Amino acid sequence: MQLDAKVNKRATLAYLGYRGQDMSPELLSRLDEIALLCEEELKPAGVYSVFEVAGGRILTFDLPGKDIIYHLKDCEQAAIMALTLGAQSEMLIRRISAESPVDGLIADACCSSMTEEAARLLNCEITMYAKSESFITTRRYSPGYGDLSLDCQSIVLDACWADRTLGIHVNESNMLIPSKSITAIIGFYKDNSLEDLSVATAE
Amino acid sequence: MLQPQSKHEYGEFLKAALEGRKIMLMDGGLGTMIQGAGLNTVHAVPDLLNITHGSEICDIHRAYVIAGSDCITTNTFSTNSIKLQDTGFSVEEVFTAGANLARNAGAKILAGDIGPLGVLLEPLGSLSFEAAYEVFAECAIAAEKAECDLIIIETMADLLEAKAALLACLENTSLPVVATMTFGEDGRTFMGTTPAIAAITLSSMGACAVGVNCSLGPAEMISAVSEMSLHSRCPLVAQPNAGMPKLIEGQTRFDINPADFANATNSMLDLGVSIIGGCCGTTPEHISALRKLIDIRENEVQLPKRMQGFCVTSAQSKAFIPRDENLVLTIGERINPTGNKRLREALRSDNLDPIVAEASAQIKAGVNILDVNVGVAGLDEVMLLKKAVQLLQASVSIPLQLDSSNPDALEAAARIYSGRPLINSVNGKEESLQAVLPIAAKYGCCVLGLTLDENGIPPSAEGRFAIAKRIVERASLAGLSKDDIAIDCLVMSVATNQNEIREILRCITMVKEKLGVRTALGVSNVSFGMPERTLLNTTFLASAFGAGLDLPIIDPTNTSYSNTVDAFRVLNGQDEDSRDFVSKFTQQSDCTTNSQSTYKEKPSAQELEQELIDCIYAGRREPVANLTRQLLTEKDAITVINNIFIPALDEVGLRYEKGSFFLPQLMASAEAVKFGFDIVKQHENDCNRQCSTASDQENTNIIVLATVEGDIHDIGKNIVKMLLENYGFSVHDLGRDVSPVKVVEAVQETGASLVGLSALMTTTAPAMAKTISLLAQSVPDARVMVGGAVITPEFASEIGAHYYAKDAAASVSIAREFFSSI
Repeated sequence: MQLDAKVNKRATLAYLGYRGQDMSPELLSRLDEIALLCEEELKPAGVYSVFEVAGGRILTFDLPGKDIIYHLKDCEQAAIMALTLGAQSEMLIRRISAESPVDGLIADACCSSMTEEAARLLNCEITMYAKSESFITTRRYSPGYGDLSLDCQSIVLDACWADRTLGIHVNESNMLIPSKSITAIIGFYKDNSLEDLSVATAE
Repeated sequence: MLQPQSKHEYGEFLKAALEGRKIMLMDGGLGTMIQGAGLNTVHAVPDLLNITHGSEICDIHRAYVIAGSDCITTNTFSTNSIKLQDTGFSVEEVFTAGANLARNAGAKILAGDIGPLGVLLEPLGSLSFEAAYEVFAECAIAAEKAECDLIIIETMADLLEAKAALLACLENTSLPVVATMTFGEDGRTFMGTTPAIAAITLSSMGACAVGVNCSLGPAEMISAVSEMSLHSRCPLVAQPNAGMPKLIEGQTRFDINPADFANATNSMLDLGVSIIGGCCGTTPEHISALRKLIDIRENEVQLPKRMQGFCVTSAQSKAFIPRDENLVLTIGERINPTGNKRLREALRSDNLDPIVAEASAQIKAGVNILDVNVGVAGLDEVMLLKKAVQLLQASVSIPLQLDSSNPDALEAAARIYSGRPLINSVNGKEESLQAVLPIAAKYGCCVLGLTLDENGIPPSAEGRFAIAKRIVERASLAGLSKDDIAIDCLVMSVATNQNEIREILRCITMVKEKLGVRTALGVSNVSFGMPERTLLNTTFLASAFGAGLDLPIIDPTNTSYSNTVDAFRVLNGQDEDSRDFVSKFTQQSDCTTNSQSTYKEKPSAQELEQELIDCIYAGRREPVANLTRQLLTEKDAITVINNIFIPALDEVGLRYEKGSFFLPQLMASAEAVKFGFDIVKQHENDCNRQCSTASDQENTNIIVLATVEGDIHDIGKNIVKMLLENYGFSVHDLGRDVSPVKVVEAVQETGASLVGLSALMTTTAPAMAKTISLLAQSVPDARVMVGGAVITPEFASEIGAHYYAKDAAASVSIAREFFSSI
């Protein structure tokens, strides 16, 4: 699905290490121009698939490490999600960097914030879906955090068809290509207290 | 419909289908049927079922034969040496088994299936074009050996990968080849290729049929097929899914029933599709339903209704002039080292970024096609043109014109070009015709013909026209159509050949009217040796438009030329309702009004100096260049560098250390100084003097920089490079994902005494250790500084690095200290 993600300028500045320094109007306008270019040229897209979970484990395939089991311990289902700014983002950053390393740095940060924004939008979609199925969602958990090794990136991409539908691949170092891509796992659980409440109300 | 009965009839039927005279029904989804049989989890590569579960695969094929498929596709979608690695089975074994199963199932016509490799090609991925070609060649040879009747290359998302596969099949077998690509709902592949671009590129290269498969249902696929039909030079293939896939529990589900599928798919036959079938989600029931509708049509076959015209493409965009229209497309001439010292230096130092920068600047100026010339005496043009094209197609998305007089360079670049390029050039010399036209025909290129031959450039229009006619005739014999040719009538300088100018214009008209091909012209040659060159060039350009020029080769960043083009597009009716023209010149007049400044007295040198320093701090590039230019009229270069640039850079570094500047400010200041440095160098060159600028230290202060193997993040390394260059170090940048061997080779070749290595990810930090270890063995005198997000001083010391740079500014301090101590 297409994700209408925009560049988050506050986040972009944070990636660039901004801590309230005085900036020249030129630098600010460079940021504005590059952000606009990113939004015009890039079309973020995402995909997700939902799997059954028992005892913190996804039933269809194995994920490495204990942290993900802990993350999903109360869950009945989990969504595997992936999103990307596409191959065009690699072209855009290369092109801008060749003209000016400063603009390249800014473009890279703009794309990073746009990727995060796309992840937030996809997360919202998943949360809405989970809600329609009477679930509450956990926060996003991505490979590379805790002991969920990056080695599982190809399993995750395969599970949600991100390789076939979005063109996201992994290289020998398990980095995602295009680099402006994110994979994550979101658990679905029932809020038992609400269930109890509904029972109590019914009574 | 009467079905073919004998092997000979099958052969004739296949031939007729590939010529668009008969409709050939393919099979449906194989993966779907394998999943339905519960066999999808038996092997990681389902093609191995050909060996272990032959009878089940044979049953699936048989079900499609019974359903009415004329052609059965082998279960070899993933049969290639990359995916079969570690399985213990060879490509030939799996192909042979697959073909036998389909044959035993009663297949009348057998299509050897070749799917994508599942790994990305360079530069996005790590697989080279040549390596991909070799993998596909092995598949193609296996398909022919297994006695397949044709090869179907399918589900390609990367046009370059499809091209590698097509070339591998055409060059290694005598089988007809069909190629299909898969498009998203936005009408593009992941790499941004449209159906039109895929159709023109692959059909021009010799695919017997091109088309669309997978990803989309029949309803969604119609627009892609329709777009292909306008540009394909061969019949079309369509193999839609049974609707749009829905992913449930990691399994895809499709929901279009056989009757609806058949009705929707059947309508594609009106668009020039003669090979039709199904992809994911389709079953023998879907194919059977389609069979019934095809039989009702009898032989009502349509050929694609192609829009004829001149068309060159990149992977993402096309430059197209329909045959009956007079549109003007510009060709940008700035990527050419002749007369461009910066590009020459870049090519000599193997740093091709300035080529991308030139490309980007021309695209911003609105150019339609980019000429790429990298010819520098003493350099390997074959390697360089190929490299430049690879870099450009990974960075910009407009079509390229490959410019070289070396046929080997043209072929090397055309081969790996992701799209349909324009070759510049062939001429009337027998040697050139024989060398270049076969390249253009083989790789499906357009070609630019120059009106010169063994006797030189004829002075008269008739003489030039005769050569143009010969080129067009010979191109036709080589397999190119008139749409694939543009003729450059060759401009001479008015200073030396004043009488020829009118002849050139007359020849343009003759070529267009009598030969029916497009015309190009390198306009600026007309003014060599004359004053007011821009005035002469624009006047000549306008005259040439009047004579029928289609493809002016110009510097689009020169506004006089681009304005003339824009004005002509209005008069030519190309700029509909003059929208672009009005918009451009309204904006320009706004800018002019806003930028009108009040009169100021000429500032003193001291005021200029302070303003320059302030502009460096603010990272203002253009003002720094202008102020440097002004200051050089009063101060010498050494003073400007030592008293302004270096202290300003030091101050900026200090502010960054203190946190009062953040990284983009540090870099913007450094970049502004670089603009100033360029002015100083230019000034010294103009004055024919030497000054102690950065270039003086090139021979001694050499640093090799690289992002280590496996790591694709190079922003940090690029920052380090920029700062080091500003301080006068000669930086040899190897780029990203660089193997230890390449680093060692670069150090040995350049004699660098300092190496900078960067790594951003924990997973790639070990590659840094490996590189340092190899450097220690091979070039023990080289010193290594390391940095990157995950690198700590402890890790640096542990892996044997000599220096740890916590950030880009620290790398400058290290380099200054290091080189001052040796």
